[in-house]
Amino acid sequence: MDYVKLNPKAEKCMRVNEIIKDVIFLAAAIAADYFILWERSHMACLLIGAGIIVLAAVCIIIIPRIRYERYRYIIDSANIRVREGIFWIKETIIPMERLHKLQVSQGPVDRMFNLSSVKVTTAGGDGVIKFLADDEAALIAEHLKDKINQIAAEERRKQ
Amino acid sequence: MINERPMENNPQTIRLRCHFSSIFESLWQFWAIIAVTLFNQIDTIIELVQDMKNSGIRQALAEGGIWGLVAAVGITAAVLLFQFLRWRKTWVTLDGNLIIIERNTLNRIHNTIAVENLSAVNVERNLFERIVGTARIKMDTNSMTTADKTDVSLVFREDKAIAFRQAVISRMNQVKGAAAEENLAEDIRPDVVPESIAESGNVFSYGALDMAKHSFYSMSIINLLIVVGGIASSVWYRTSEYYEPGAVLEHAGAIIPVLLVFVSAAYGLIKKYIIYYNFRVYRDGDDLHLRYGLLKLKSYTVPVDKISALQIVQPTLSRIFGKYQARIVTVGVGDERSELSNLTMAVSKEELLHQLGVLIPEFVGESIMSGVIAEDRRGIAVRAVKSVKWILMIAAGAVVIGMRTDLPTWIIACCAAAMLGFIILLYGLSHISAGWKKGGQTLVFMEGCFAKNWTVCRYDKVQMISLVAHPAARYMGIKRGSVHMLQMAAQMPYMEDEQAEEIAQAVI
Repeated sequence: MDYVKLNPKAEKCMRVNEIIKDVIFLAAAIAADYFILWERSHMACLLIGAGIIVLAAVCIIIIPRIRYERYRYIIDSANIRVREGIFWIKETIIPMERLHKLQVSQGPVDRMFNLSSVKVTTAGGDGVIKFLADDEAALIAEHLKDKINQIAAEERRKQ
Repeated sequence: MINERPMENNPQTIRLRCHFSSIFESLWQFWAIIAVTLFNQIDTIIELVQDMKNSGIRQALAEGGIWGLVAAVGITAAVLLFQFLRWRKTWVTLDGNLIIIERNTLNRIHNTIAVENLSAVNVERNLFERIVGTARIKMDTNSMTTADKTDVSLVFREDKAIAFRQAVISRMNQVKGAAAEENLAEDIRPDVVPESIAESGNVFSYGALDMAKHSFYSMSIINLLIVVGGIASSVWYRTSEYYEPGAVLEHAGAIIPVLLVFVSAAYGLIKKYIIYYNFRVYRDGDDLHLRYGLLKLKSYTVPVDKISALQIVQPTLSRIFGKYQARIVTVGVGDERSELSNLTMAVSKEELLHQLGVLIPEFVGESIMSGVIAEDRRGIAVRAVKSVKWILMIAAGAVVIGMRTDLPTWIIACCAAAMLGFIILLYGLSHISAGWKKGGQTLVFMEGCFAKNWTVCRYDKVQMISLVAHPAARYMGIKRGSVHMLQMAAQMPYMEDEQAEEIAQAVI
């Protein structure tokens, strides 16, 4: 089975998240820049401030694009795989048999774009498939719920 | 059988309270503070009591000095009363297959645990409990969220503790489908080896000399250097021309912190001897039985099917002397910060494999320490790329120090080169120590730097896998990652993408 790419709305959601993160970073960095450098050298302060703004702008334009292009997932009968990252690519592989718990969640930014996250828990850790369209998340959750019930029934039968 | 308060209508129900001594034991830090304060202020207290005797209680109250004592006594009484009520209103009930802990204080708590969810029921006795004649029952559930701590800890009189543990284990066995009487090992006192096992010679016990050797091989090099350096410098000072009688007392303020570092390092060296004193392990049926401890006597029963992984460890000194020790990763053993879950002490490779073969053949069915594939050579290149950040930081640090201080350039350059050499050594050793093996039943991962660890995990115990590719690793077609189990994760070394996929497929 091939990796599935996210809904295009996910990129917009990633961008809004990045903007929120960068605005907070910008405010803190520019305040620090002003209080530390302004008295010593106006020019250095302005140059560093401009550099910070350019960096934030680049992050807002480029990072969501790369992140969206790299984000992939697979859900088949044997396992769940999530591949994500910007420079460092991380792949999480969760065998279906180990699923214990399922959680569907939606943050305020996700809600703006009708997106949800599905978090699956095993005894060794969690895996999250983020930025799924609501209906898709519901379908996946339903499928995984059936799977978890099936595993629990098999466990009971074995005992 | 426990008959503190058996339910008449249901002989399957046992209801009892913890031992009275738990009132004092549960707040031992508080009592320690009270004792230290009393000890420090003993002169003042005697003075206050004498004043009270001479001038009467009213005068003493008017002078105000007595209020501190009154407050201390009041707080102590309040704490005692609170703990007493808490003890009085807390009941532990074993009702059928349920363990119910109810506390009917202001915050009413009913905690119910099904025995089938218990993974370990262990006994522990610290020095205080041994003096008082009690034992602590520690129960752990299969829950992931509490895997690193004890879920239920109860203190009973020793005979009641043994009977309670026996009752719980019998019911666990009944739930599993075995008859309660089949559980021979747990029917006895946990510190008594069944005759049949003792006769078979498959009980591994360690004497005082073995324990001393184990402590030596497990020593931290840093602690060893601090202790040896401390002793050597003391001897040198005492015999040198700089020695002045009374100087030590004069500079006590500066000496005490150094002394504390020395004492803590010295304790680090003997700690393992104290913790694992009289270590003994044997297997009975599907359970491992461990017992050890000098000040705190611990007795564990570990069902083999609850073991997530086996770790073979070589601390630096063990690596130099060719010794190995095995640890198990399981719920209920090794929950405390200072505690490790050793299955063997430091022994030779042959002895280790022999003991593991008897104790947990499920993990050593195939030769676990041979045929390990070394980390992919391209891992060196990736590590070299990763070391660039350190090289830049050291170079920048050296430049700043050169500009800001009058230190000769050659000293700065030598220091920077030494730091760089150490970092390269760390990366090099990490590469040499890393390896992996995909066996029929188990996966083996090797990692380390000065010390070396093998983690042996069964496929069915692996819960998930995380793979990470550094940009340089991606360029070279390799990746590394970690294999997650309940309570721990083992590091996968750099390997080809296809090899990582093979491991993932085997786990799935």
